[in-house]
Amino acid sequence: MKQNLTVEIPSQPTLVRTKKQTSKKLGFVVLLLPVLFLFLLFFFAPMIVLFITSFRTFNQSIGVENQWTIHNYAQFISDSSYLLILWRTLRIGFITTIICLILAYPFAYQLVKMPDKLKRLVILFVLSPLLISMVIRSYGWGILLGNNGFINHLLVNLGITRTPLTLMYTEFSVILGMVHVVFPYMVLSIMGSLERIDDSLIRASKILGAGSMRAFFGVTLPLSLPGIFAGSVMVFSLTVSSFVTPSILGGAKVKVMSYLTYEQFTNTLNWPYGAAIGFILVFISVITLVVYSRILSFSKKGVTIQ
Amino acid sequence: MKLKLGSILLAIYSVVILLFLLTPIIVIVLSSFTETNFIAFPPEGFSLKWYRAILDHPEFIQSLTLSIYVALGTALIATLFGTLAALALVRYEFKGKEAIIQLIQSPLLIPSIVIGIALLQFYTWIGIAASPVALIIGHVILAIPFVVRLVTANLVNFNRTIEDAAYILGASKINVFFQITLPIIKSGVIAGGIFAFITSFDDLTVSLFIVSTDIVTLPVRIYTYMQYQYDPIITSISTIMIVLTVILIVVIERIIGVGKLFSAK
Amino acid sequence: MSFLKLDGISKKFKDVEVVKELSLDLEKGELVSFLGPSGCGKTTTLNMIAGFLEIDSGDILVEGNSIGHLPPNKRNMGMVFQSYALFPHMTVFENVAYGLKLRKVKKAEIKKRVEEALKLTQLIGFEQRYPKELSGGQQQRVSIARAIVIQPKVLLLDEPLSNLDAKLRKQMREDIVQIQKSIGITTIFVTHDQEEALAISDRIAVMNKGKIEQIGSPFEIYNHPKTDFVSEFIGEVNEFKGKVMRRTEDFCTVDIHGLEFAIPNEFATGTEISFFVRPENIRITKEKPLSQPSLISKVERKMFLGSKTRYTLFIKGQKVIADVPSNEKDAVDLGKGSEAYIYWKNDELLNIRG
Repeated sequence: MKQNLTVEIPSQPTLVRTKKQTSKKLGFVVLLLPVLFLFLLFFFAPMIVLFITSFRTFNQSIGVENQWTIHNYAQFISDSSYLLILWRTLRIGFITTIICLILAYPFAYQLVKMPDKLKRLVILFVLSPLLISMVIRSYGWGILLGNNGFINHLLVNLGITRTPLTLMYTEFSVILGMVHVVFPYMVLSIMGSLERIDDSLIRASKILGAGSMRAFFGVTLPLSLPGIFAGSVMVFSLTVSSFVTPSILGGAKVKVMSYLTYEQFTNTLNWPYGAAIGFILVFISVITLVVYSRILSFSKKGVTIQ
Repeated sequence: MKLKLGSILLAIYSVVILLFLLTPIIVIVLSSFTETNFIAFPPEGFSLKWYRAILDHPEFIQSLTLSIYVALGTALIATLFGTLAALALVRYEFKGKEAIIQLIQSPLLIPSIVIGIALLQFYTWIGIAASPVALIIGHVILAIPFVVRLVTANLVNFNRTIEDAAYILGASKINVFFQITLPIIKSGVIAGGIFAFITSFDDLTVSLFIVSTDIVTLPVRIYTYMQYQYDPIITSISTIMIVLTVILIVVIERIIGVGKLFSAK
Repeated sequence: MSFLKLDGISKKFKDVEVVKELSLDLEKGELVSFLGPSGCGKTTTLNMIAGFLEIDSGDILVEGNSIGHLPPNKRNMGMVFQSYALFPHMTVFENVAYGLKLRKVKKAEIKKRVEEALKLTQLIGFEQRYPKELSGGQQQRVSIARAIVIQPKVLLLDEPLSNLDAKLRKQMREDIVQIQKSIGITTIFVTHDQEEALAISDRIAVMNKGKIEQIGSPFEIYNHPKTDFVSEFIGEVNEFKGKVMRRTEDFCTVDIHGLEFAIPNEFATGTEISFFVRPENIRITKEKPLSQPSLISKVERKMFLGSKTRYTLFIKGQKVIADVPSNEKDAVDLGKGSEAYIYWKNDELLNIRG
């Protein structure tokens, strides 16, 4: 369950506080200590250790050795079958994002126009799946998509196909599952942008003679671009990093980066290699965010209306 | 007239989308009532036998118990640590604040599978075996970014003059915190707690790496079970998970609304 | 011995002296306003008295006891904030009772005192309501009740009426004075609204740049301002300038806009002098007054303001504002562009200086 990538905590003006400086300083340290201790010891340190491990050599019989190497990364980049997996992961990411965008936009558009009570109810239904374990959700799709599953039965009985289609353990099933998982995030993002559009802008363009279509493409769509953009980045990042859904709906047949990492760590026990793959994945995530912030700071916040 | 058609189409579309979103969940729940010995959707017949079957599989019950226990622990600790951190971050200025904010939010940026393997290696290295505590620590890391956000949202809008008013009426700092501040940010704290619970309860990717013969959370149990067997007990135990989660969703909706849960910036 | 004594208190924020050695003595039961423009230090001073800000130097004494070093929760003062600052999660009753609960007052006693305070602030019947169900004026009254129920030594009000609309403000300030007088509590009222300060205060401390420019009764402040700032800040003034032509024992004859006026003062011949006249003291007539010198002016604007009518006139390029009671028949007839004579009475001149 990942969220928006940037966080701003505005500083609250401490108006008039008494107490000397020393006890004030002590105050916030005590408050932060638990979190910092936990994070530094059980998040930051493990990540560092893992990163270091990705540069170690591995021996089948001994295990992780003490030598330094960049072989793990090199091996990944040079092996075409691994690069294929990387490409597949990215491809699934892109396709999921685009499908999500196309499906989510009209829905978000509709949602924004709903009366408050209805809107709240619909939002409840849209976001609730996010709170249900991905294992369950993916498994649910698995039941539908099997060779003896509901969808195939329907297709065969309606005469659309003669033999059941292989729907499971394909890129199709993975993308379907991922779209289902990340869809609410895209909706939220687009909705956020749409809601910020001042109604009077639309009215102004209509008074000037624009029809509904024109008003939409000339005003609404451009102004909702920030939401589209942010949503796409988030959805892409989530999809690429996801493990549960691709693993259940794609398995070993449609291996993605996260699955590869899992395999290395649990089957082959080649931890250095698994670590390297993991960090390549981290790298992709971080790059996505960096590119996003760069583009954001280059372009203006709002979009000028033509 | 043309407009009407457009809106009708959009409305139908929205309903279809909503059905799409609920599909897998409905499939699981309905499948759990099948009479057959294999998974069937639509279910054939109506039977509760797969719920009774859970009783014959003590490992599922054990996993359910473990998951709830760990989720409660996560909720408690994440809420406590997260609320204190949020207070510090919103109300104080200090060097390195930005860095700490980023650190606290960073679990959201790192693929959870990487967090999982990192913890596995780290625990192995320092000799921590799989245990409820080990799980709680991992889950707390995942949950704290959300708790901090939710509590921060409440704190940011907090009119601190109210605390001044309490002071001058004679309250001590502790009085002010427990009698004034905490009750007012209550909704953010509780929402954070429930969200932390759900994050822990649902988690697979990190829990997958913190396992032993006795320590298997429910999602992990379901995941591994389904790789070797394909019987409806998965659907019934999943339905129980769904019911539990739905109860929590209702609680959240009444406290702050599910929409606010996800838009806390 | 004064009841509340501010003894040379100062406060610095990052090398800027916001309050400069401010001293003031308040009698028991009096209502003193701190009046001044934003940034003059009035709120800072109030916060120092309350204890929210540390005093850099000086001291604050209540009934002879030094309290300057005490934290806000030990000073036993009541405070009413501009934003009301009611506890949103407590009912009106619980809000008002809060201070008493902290003092471990017995339940029955709490009930009695809260009811008394609510009666005083006309809030009987509102006990179980929550702040969000109340109007601004009602919330402010709860705030007052909460502050006075603990029987504090001093009552501090920080621009309590600024968030209310004009009519409500007028009503509430009457109520506040009434409550204050009925319980006889020493009160400091911070405001930037001079009409408010003039209406309710026993004394007004006009503040500017961290210092008290003048302290006195409303009448004194208005009619006998001691400094330029006070004259210009309180009410409005027209400034006239002229040169002393010649002198007699008590008067000097001053040339203002070509006409000679006798000004009661003793400046040497040749001095450039100036003085203020308030708009309500500028008299206008259509015909030239016979018994005293007057200036010819042209009416530029006429604004009907209800009980008074405001004329903007020009004399040789200088703008003069004159307020005339709307029921005075003579002046009301003047329209834009017409000529009028203006004059004043010598005892209404302010701040004559050279």
